[in-house]
Amino acid sequence: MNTAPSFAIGEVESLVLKAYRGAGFSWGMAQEAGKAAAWLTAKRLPALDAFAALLNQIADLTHEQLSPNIKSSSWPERWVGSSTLLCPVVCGAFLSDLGPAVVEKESTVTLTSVASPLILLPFVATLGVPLTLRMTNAEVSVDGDVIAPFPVYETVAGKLDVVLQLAVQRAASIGDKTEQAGRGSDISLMRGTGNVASIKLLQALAHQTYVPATQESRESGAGAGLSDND
Amino acid sequence: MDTHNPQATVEQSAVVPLRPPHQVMRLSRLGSFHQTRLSFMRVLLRRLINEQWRFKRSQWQVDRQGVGHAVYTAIGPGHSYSLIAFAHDLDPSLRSDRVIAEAWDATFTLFDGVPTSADIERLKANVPLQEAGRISETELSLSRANRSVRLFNYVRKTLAAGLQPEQAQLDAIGYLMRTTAVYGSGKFGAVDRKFVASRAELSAPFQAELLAVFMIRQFSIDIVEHLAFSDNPETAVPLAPSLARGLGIGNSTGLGMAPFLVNHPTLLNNWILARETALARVRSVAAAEKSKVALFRHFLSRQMISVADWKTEHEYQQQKVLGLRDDLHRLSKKIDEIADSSESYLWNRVYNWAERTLTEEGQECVVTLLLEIYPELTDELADTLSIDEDARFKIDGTCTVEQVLALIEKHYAFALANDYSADAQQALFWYASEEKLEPRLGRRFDESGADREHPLAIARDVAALANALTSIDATVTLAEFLLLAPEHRHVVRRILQIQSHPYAEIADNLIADGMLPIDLLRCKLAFFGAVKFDPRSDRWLRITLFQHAPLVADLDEHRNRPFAVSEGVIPGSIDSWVYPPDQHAV
Repeated sequence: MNTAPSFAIGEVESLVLKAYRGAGFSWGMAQEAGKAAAWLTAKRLPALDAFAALLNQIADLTHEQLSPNIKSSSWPERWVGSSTLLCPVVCGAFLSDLGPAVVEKESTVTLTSVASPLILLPFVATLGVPLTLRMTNAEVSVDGDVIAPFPVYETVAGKLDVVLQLAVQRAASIGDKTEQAGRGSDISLMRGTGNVASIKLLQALAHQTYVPATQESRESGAGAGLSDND
Repeated sequence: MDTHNPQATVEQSAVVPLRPPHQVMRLSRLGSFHQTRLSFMRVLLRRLINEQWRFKRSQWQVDRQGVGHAVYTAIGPGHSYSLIAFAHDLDPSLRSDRVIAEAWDATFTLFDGVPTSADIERLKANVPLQEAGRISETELSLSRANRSVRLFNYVRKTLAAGLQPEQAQLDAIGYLMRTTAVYGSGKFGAVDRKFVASRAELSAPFQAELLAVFMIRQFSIDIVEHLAFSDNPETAVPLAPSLARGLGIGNSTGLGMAPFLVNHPTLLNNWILARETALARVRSVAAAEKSKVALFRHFLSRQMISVADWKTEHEYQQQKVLGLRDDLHRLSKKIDEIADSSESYLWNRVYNWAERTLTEEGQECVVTLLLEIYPELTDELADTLSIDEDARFKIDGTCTVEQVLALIEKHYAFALANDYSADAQQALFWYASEEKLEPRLGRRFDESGADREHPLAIARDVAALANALTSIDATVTLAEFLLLAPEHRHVVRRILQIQSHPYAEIADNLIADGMLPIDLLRCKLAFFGAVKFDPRSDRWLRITLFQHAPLVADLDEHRNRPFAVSEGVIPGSIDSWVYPPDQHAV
C-alpha cells in the first residue's frame, strides 16, 4: 500500500512523541514534540513530514548540541548552537518557556540554522503576542491559533535562519483562510497524513520505545495462562 | 470546552472543607472507590432517560450459526449514533480475555450517525481485525466481546427448550458477554474527542464508549435469543425482561488502563474534585430531612444486597469485601442510633464516624451513599468532569527554582518520603511491550528494558528534580534550568499543574515493590460506574457494567409512561437502577 492512511490527531501526537523519544530525547521534550505535531495537523500543515525530516537531520546529535548557547556574546538577539543545527523543538520549547519578554526586548531575534523551521510555529503560538517569522523565501505571522499567510511547506523546510519580530498588526485582521481550516466544523479536514517514507521513519524510531517480550514477561502479563472459556 | 472550578461557588456556604489530597489520593483509598451518581455510566443513562432517546435495531443479518452483522441506532435530540455489531463463530481455543487476543465472538464500532451499506462493507473489512484494522473519523469507538461460555450456553439451551433460566444461575455471573477492550478517541483512526466533545451528550468523559457498551448489552441478549430460536424454532421463547435486566456486560481490564490516570493528571483532578465537592456539600447540610434519612436506609439496604452478591476469589479483595459487609452492618446500626437525634449536621457526623471506624472500602461506600441521596447537590457536578488538557500543557518558564521547590514541598511530601536508593522503592518499571504495544510492568532488577521506562515513576522523578534544584541558585528560572536539564521537563509540567489542580497526583510510589495496579484500575472503573470488582491477580480484574440498568425497551416504555422504568424507582432518583432491586423497598 503506497497511500498513507488518514490519522487521527491523537495518533499523530502519539507517533511523534514516541519517535522523538525513540530518537534519544527526554520524555518531557518528546511531549512538546507530540503536542507541536498535533497543533500543526489541526492547521492542515504536514506535521509528519516535517518531523520525519527533522529527525533525519538531527540523528546522532544530542539535546545539548541542538540547543542555543545562552553563554554566547550574541545571546539573546542571535541564537547559535554548538553543532551546525538548532532543533526547533528545543528552541521552540525554550522560547515558549521564556515567554514574550525575549522578543519584546529585542527588535529582532535570529535563530540560526534551524532544522525544519515549520515546527517553530506551534511554540511561537503559545507566546500570546503576534509574531512574524522571516525566512529566506517565506514570511509567516503567527498570532495564537491564527497563521497568515498559510506557508508553502517547501519554504519552511530544510535548514534556515529564522528572524523573529513582533508583528505590526494582529494576524487575525489579515483575514486568512487557515483560521477556517483550523476551526471549521468539517472534521475530515483535521486529519493527519504524510509520505509513506516519513511515516515509516517515524514508526521505526517509535519502535525504539518498546521493550521486546520475553517468555518471562509474557507469563507475568495481566491475565496470562488463564482459560477464558468460562 | 473548559469547565469552571466548582470550588469557588460551593464553598461559600459550606462549613465542611474538601478532604485534603494527601488523604484522598492514596492508592489504597483510590482502590476502594465505588460508583457514584457522578460515574460516567450513570451520567449517560440519566441523559438517555431525561432526553427521551429512542433506540432502533435497524438491521439484523445474522445466520443460524450466529454469524453476520446487526445495526442498532440511538436517536437523541441532536445526533444519532449507531452500534455496528459483527457476530462471529469463534473457535473456543481462540477465546481469550486478554487484550492481546486476535479473534473474538463479536466485534463492534460506534458509528457517528446512520451507516450506509458502503460504510458497513468498509467496516466489515476492518472492525473484526480490531487493532490490525483501521476505522475513520465517522467512528467513535472500537471494541470486542467474548461470551461467558457457561452462562451463554445455559441460557441458550434453556430458552430453546421454552424455559426461562434460573435467577441464581444468572446472578452467579451477571452477564452474557464481556468486553476485553473498548477503544475511543483517536484510536486506530477513530475521530478525535476534541471534534465531538462540544456535543452535550459526549461532553462528559467516555460517553461514546459507554453508549456503545449499553447497546452491546442489548446485542448480547438478542444474539442468545436468536441462537435459541435457531436451535429450536418450535419451542424457543425470548428471555423475560425482568431476567434480562439483571444481566449487564462484563469487562476484563488489565494493565493497559493503569497508566491513564497518571498520564491525565488534570483530568483526574476534575473527576476527584467533583466527587469531593459533592461530598463536602452533603456533609455541610445542616438539617437532614426525615425523607433523606429514609432514602439513606433504602439505598444502604440495596447496597447490602449488592455487596452480599459480590464474589471474588482474590484474597486481597475477599478481605476487603468481608470488611465492607461488616462495615455496612455497623453503619446500619449507627444510623438507627443517631437518625432521630435533633443534632445538626447528621451526615457529617455519619461521615466522621465512618472515617474513624470503618475500613477504607466502608468509608468510600458511605461517600457513595451520601451522594446518592442528594442528586440536587451532586448531579450538576457532572458538567465539571471534563477538561481541556491542552490548555494546561504550557510550562511557565519564568518561575524560579525557589518557587518550584516550594511547590514540591507543599504538594509532594509523599514523593520525598522515600529513599530511592533502596531497591524496594524502585522495584518496578512501566513500559510498553513490543509485542502488542501494551503497557506493562517489569521488575527492574530481574528483567531487561528499564532503559525504556515510561515516565510514570512520578514520586521518584519529583525527588530527583528536588535534588537537582537544591544544588543550584534559587533565582535561576525554569526556562534556563530546563534548557540544560531536559530530563526533568515531564515532572516540572505536572508540578506547575498541581497548583490549580490539587487532586492531580496519586500520592504513592507507583514503582515500589508490592504496589497493586488493581488499585489504579479500580479507581478508574469506579468512575466508569463498574460494580463487583473481581481481581484475577494483582494486575487485572473483571467487572460488570449496566447490570440492572433499564433495557432499551424500558427506555421506550418510559417515554410513554414516565417513572415506570423499573420497580423501586425513587422520585428524584430516576437512575437508582445501579443498586439491585429491593423487594422490601420503602
